[in-house]
Amino acid sequence: MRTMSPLSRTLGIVFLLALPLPIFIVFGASFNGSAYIQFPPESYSLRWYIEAFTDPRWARAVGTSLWIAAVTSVVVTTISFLAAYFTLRYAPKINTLLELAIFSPLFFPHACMGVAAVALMAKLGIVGTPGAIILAHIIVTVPFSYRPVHVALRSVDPDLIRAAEVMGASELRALKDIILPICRSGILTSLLFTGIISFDEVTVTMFLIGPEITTLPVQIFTFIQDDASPVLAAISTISVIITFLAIVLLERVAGLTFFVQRSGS
Amino acid sequence: MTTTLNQSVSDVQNVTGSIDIASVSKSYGDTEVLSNVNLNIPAGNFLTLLGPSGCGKTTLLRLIAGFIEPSKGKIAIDGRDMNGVPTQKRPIGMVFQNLALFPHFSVAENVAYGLKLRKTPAAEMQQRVDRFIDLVGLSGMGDRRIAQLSGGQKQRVALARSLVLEPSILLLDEPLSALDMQLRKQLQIALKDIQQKLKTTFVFVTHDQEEATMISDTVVVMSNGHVQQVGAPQDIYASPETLFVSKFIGELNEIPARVTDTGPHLSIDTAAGQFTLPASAARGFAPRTGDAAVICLRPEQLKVLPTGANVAGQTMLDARVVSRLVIGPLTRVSLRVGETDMIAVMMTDADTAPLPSGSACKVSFNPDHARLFAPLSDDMASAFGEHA
Ligand SMILES: Nc1ncnc2c1ncn2[C@@H]1O[C@H](COP(=O)(O)OP(=O)(O)OP(=O)(O)O)[C@@H](O)[C@H]1O
Ligand SMILES: [Mg+2]
Repeated sequence: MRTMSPLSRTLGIVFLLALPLPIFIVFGASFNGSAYIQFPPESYSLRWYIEAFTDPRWARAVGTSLWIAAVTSVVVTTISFLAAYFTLRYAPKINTLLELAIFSPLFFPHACMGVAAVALMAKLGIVGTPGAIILAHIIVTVPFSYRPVHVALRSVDPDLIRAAEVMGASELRALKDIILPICRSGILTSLLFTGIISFDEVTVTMFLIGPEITTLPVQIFTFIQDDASPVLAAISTISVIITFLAIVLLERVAGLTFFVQRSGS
Repeated sequence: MTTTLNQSVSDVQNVTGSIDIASVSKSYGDTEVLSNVNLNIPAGNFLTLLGPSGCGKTTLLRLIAGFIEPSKGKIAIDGRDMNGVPTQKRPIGMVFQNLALFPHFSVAENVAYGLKLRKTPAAEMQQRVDRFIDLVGLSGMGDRRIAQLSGGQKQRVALARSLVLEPSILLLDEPLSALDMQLRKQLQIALKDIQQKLKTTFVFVTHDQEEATMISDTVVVMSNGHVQQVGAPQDIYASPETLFVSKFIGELNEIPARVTDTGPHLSIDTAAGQFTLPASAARGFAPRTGDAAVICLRPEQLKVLPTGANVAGQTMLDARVVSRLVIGPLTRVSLRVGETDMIAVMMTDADTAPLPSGSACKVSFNPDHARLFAPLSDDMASAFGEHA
């Protein structure tokens, strides 16, 4: 690593401390005994955590967010893996075009995508269903899935699959036995990262919820408009902890280097 | 009746594994990397593809394996057209140039993978895996990870992995290149042995002409996507059809020359003097007066004699001894003939009155042994790192 100048070092430290500051404030406020969101807290109590765990609306929102995140990450990772595998093996020339399509969600404001998504889902007649939310989450998360999966697949010697085929394996069998295990860390990265994004997504999801279904971050957003109760601080702390655990898991099983590698060739 | 039946069974075993390559070309975009290749490989043949880097050896193996399809022409295995037949349905095994070992499997798991796909019973699988791991000299290393192996050990795992399935055709892309001399010799013998025992058709790629002449029934010399010559190793050595082939197989003395007269004998002008060769010396081209050409002589076809000597029927050239190297039973004499460096090789005990370095001498050869070729074209010369 190159040595940094004192100025950039100081700036770096300030940023590193400043970035998680709001989280510390929410964390502190969640243990506040009074009825308002306050920092630093006046008295300490766990009453907001008790409320968060006993109010069924919160439990349901957490549950919904978790399973939507799980389904989204599995589906989007499967799609990315197959797309990356087949373009690399059979149509390497269209990769640039495909990446452009896959990365295009990054170029649009999420509010704009929300409007587009609600129009699309209305046409399909699925606004207010989990299907609509999952479909939107797939579109939002696919760039974050395609990149690590593509990087992992591209580094696999293409002769490995041919070697398996010479020995009699079908392409699917070779994928399962050889390619999948070798790409394990790229796939886990994709699963966890897309899961985290889906779990935290607000803007697009807001357009698609209905009376039957809402996700945790959207629930927080709606709730705060009526009532700035410290229960929100407790809920936020819980969701930060869930996300944090997922990131720790990600770092443990796969490392985070995939996000600093370039995926273009 | 029984005998005929038995006979026909063994006949059938003998005929599986033949490959017919008919007018096959392969292009990538505008570049043709294989041009009109014709080869008939009989079942059970040990055939070696020999040629400089980039001449299309791997491409030919990939076509036979079915990873790529020919742009033109047809490949048939056992008389059956392979067009559109997927790799899995071809009776082949392959050792890849870059080995393609499965990095997440152990040595034994790599060797066992194909058997597992064939649903071989566990006990038999274990036994065969062990047998082939032993055969390639990796006994006791079955549990090693691939990353823990040396280059040579990896090559041997790749060999074991393809041999264990006993395919009727085995494609081997430089399978011994990373091995040291002794192990290489050992495995050459082992390969030849297995090949003869199982009557497998081997299509073997190597850069090493010595290896090629040692283990093959048939050698195919290739350059620039063309087949230059096909034949038994000794035939190719004895009667190469082009300068390229004679340079590629065995050691060679070349004398740049110009044709001064074509009939009935060839009159040749060289820096070492003028002499005549029989018309049959010209190979692969019809010399005309004024043509540039190259006279080729094998080192063992040259005799080194004292200056006064004159042998009837032999062509004599004035030369100078540069140095002498005795390698056990053989002696190599470096010579300067005119402006050309040459090598003569003889049995050490036949070299009764060795001339000291620096002394003048005569070099003689039988004109019937000399070959006259057209000079190499530029692209072929580049294969030898020469500039025409
Ligand atoms: N997929 C491809 N696209 C374009 N050109 C290719 C492709 N594969 C091979 N070639 C070209 O075809 C030629 C022959 O390649 P090939 O790999 O068959 O050579 P080789 O004889 O096996 O060489 P080496 O001894 O170095 O392994 C080379 O010039 C190579 O650049
Ligand atoms: Mg090659």
